[in-house]
Amino acid sequence: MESIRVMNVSKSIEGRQILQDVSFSVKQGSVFGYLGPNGAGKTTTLRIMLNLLRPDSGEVLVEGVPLTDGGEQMKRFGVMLENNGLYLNRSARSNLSYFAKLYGVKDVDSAVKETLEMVGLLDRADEKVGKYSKGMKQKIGLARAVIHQPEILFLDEPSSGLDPEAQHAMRELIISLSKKGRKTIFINTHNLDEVQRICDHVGIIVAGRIRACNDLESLRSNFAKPQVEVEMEDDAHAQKAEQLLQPLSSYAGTQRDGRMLVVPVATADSPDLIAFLAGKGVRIRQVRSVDTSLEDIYLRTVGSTKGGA
Amino acid sequence: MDAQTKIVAREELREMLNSRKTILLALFFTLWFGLINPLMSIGSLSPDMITEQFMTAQIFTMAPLMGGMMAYILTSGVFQSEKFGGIMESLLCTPLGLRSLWTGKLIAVTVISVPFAMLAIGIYMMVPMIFASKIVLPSAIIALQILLTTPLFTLAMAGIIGYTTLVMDMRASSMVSMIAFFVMFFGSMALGPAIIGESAVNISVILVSAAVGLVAFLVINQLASRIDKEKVVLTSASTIEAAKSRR
Repeated sequence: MESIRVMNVSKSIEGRQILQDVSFSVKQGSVFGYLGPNGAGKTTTLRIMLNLLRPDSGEVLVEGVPLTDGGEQMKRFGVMLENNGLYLNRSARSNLSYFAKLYGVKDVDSAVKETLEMVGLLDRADEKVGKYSKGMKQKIGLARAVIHQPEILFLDEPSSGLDPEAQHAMRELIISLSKKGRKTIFINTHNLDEVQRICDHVGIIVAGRIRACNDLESLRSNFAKPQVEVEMEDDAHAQKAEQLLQPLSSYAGTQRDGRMLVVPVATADSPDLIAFLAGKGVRIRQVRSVDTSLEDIYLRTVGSTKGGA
Repeated sequence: MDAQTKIVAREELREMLNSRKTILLALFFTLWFGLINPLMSIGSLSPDMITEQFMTAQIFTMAPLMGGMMAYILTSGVFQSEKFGGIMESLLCTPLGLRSLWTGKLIAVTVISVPFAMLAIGIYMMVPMIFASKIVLPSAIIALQILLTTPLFTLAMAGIIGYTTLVMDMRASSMVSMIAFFVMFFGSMALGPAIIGESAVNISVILVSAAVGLVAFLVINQLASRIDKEKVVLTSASTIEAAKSRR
């Protein structure tokens, strides 16, 4: 079932077309990574999904119902924006309790305590947020986003500016939220590693248009050009193999690095390649298939768009 | 008043009362307007000029001005820090409506500003009395000006600043707020005594004065009901980007 559906949304701001006919849907309970380079339209899409901006055309449906300005619909959303939006001169407890009240949480004190415990900052609850590290602020931002147990969580660059350890902690929190609460999570990011580790669905936006949108596995199989990494006995065999493969169009794009060859193949198991090389006297030490990373998919998507522009 | 407005008003009130900076700022301007201002002009007066009519005319002009000035000083911080710090965008992602946000903040600013304005008025009255070494009180009807017109001018000024901060970027809103303040300040200083004269402060004039404050508030209240989130978000985003590019 679809949790959110963005339908043919276009938006221009101050005469500049930011989004053009953007459509995608986010399945209930999924973790959706919304990827794109800076200025691609990610934040504008997010703001439209949060009803902060009105689309020029198109609409956003939340479980089939058009997005309205009503408070009840906003209660279903939990939001962490990139800049945190925290009161730096207030304590974490005060930040959380204010938002808990605005969301109509019944037992504010318990909700604040539980959420602070979840992000591991209960013992520092009464310190001013301004004294916190960037990672701690992000955690409080996340805590504030989930204080009212929302069904749908929107996270804008959740690990932006964090050191690797804090990024890991933030990722673990998001994963535990998605597993425990079966929440729908929409992550706006340009951190490919984060998306690869957390998300099961991905949308890629480039220059205001959606260029790819699917679950991660389907994207991989759609975009993947199977490759194998072949380790030769030594450099001489690798060089010989390279010379043998280069004239063959089915292995075009073969690359050598020392005694390693990366060879594009028709299928990942590549029996023809091994038989061919072995038949020519090339000594092979080992062969393994190479997974297409999200980075490959992303760069190919962004690159093809730039090339076409 | 809806529940959300009450939550915002309470939070803002608590925040302002807990802020040493806010209280010190309010106290500083209370003393400045209440003490320094009359001390600077008193040199040109003789003790026999300090009469009930003089005091009445002075307080008639100064009471709404004190409220407006206090609102001018305290309101910008309440709205600007949230908008500039990106907090407002997070607030707009909650069930809180813009109308409740604006009204709640206005109530908090007025509740804090009016007592300080009244304290400034009290000090303002004391200075000429000490100078003349006699107790000279303004006409009793001036209480109406203090209790009715002062809060209305406070609300109107806070409303104008709050509204402009929400719908404009920082530079434009600061400029418009300043213009509004100077219009109120010089308008009161020039028109007040010139039109009514020292002996003409009566209940009708006070009611007209209160009506001016009320109309100003109602107009800005009407405008505030039309603010949309997009305007707020786009002007705050441009402010943050402008601030980043300056760094």
